[in-house]
Amino acid sequence: MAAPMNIVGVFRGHSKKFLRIQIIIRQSFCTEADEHEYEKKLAKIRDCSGLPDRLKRKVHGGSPDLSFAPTFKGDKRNRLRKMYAEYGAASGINPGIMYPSKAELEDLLEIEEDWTPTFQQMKQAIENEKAAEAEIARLRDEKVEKAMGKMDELIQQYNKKQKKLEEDIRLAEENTTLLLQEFRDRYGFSVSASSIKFRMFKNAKADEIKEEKKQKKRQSKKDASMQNLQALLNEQKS
Amino acid sequence: MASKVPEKALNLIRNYPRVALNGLKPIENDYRYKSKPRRSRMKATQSGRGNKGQGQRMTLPRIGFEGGNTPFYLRIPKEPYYRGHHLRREYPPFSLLQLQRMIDLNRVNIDEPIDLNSIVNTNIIKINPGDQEFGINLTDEGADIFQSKVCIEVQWASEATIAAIERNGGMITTRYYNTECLEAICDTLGFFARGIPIPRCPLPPRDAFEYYTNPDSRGYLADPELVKKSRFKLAQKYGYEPPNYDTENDSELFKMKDPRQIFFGLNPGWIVSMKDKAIIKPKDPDYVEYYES
Repeated sequence: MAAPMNIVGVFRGHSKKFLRIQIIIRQSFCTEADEHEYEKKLAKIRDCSGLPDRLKRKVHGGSPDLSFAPTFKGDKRNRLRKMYAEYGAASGINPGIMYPSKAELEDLLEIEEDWTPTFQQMKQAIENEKAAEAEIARLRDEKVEKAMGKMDELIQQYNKKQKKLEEDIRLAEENTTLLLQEFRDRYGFSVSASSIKFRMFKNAKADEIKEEKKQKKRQSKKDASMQNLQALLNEQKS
Repeated sequence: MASKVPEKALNLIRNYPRVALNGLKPIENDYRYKSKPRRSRMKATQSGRGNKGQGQRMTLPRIGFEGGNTPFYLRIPKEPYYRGHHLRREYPPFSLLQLQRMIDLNRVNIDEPIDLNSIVNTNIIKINPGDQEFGINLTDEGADIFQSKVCIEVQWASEATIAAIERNGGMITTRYYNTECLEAICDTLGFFARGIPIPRCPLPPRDAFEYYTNPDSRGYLADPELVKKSRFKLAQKYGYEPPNYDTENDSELFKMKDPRQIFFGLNPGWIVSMKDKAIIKPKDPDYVEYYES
């Protein structure tokens, strides 16, 4: 709606070359709303800052644009929180949005109760762990001590065993030399200890010895039984 | 009709780009030498990819492939001591020498307690919570020249460091912060810009619990009586008078935070509005209970 225009004044510029006339045009308005609109229009024209809308609002102490479309779940709340942080109470946002909701608070409490050990629980758990480790170590040490106690005895046993082995070997060697000599005496020629002839001779000798032993045993048994019989007869006689 | 020149001029000014770093013209006689691309005429059109073959045709095999034989990264066995090493907490070192330098150059105020926040606010060192960094390890480099009486709170300290601080009448505490709290500490303004309440710091995890309950490492969860005894013992060991924190002058200096507290003077659950220069506190009893527990 075109408002009537009045030429308020004319002032001449100071230049000598040409007369510069600046005409100040002032509009008279029907209503305050019109004036306000006009002022806004002027402000828009005068504004050559090149700032984007968001920053313009921020610089002029205004409130942010709350009519944005959220991109994902939780986007709106995050952005509103950041807006509050940026603009303060002038943003018009309810500061309660910055806190977790009641449901979320419940969740947090639940998580803490179920999954977060308290100071005492942690301390106790660590103490238990340490006690268990100490117990295992103690048992091991005891076992080792016990075993070490037997050490002297075991050493003695071992030495004994070794001696016996050596003794046996020595005796076997002696025996072999004797047998070799016997072989030589009997058959008139020498053999080595590992030859088959000597081994057969040795086996035969061993069998011989066995037979002798058996005979001896039989004889001793016979003698024993004879003695018994004799004793019985003597008893009967007397 | 009135001349449209002023309007056009204003339109031009309005639509010109803003004065910014990307719109500046170099000064006259700009002496910066531009490096010429050194390449032969043939190679100029190959975009640095060479000629023919897998290199140019983007058909190179995966990294580590050795043409078919079992590659190094599969052949060499994993060492057991590296298990989980990418998840281990890191405490970047910060020496007593650096601290003394900071104090001498008035980067930190020793009339107030020094904590991780004040050290990071100097912008001399940076802690990245995203890189598994959990705070600073105050090392004993410069222990022999350290001369300031400070109340300091760090995340890790050795015996020599503790002795160096206490020898000068200062107080040292070792304190655990989780990643969420560290994000608030290491970039405080950035954290306030997010519009979320100050978090409450949880207890340390299992493998750190022992350290922070140990009086010898001045852990914040240790029994204060045992810590006193430990201080006395350490003084005996290193040969100095044990420190005394009960004097009238230092009542403001020797303060310790609550185990849940991150910033001195601010409680968990509060929101700091930098724009309004105000603090927002919850009133609802559920919230108050949660944040004060």
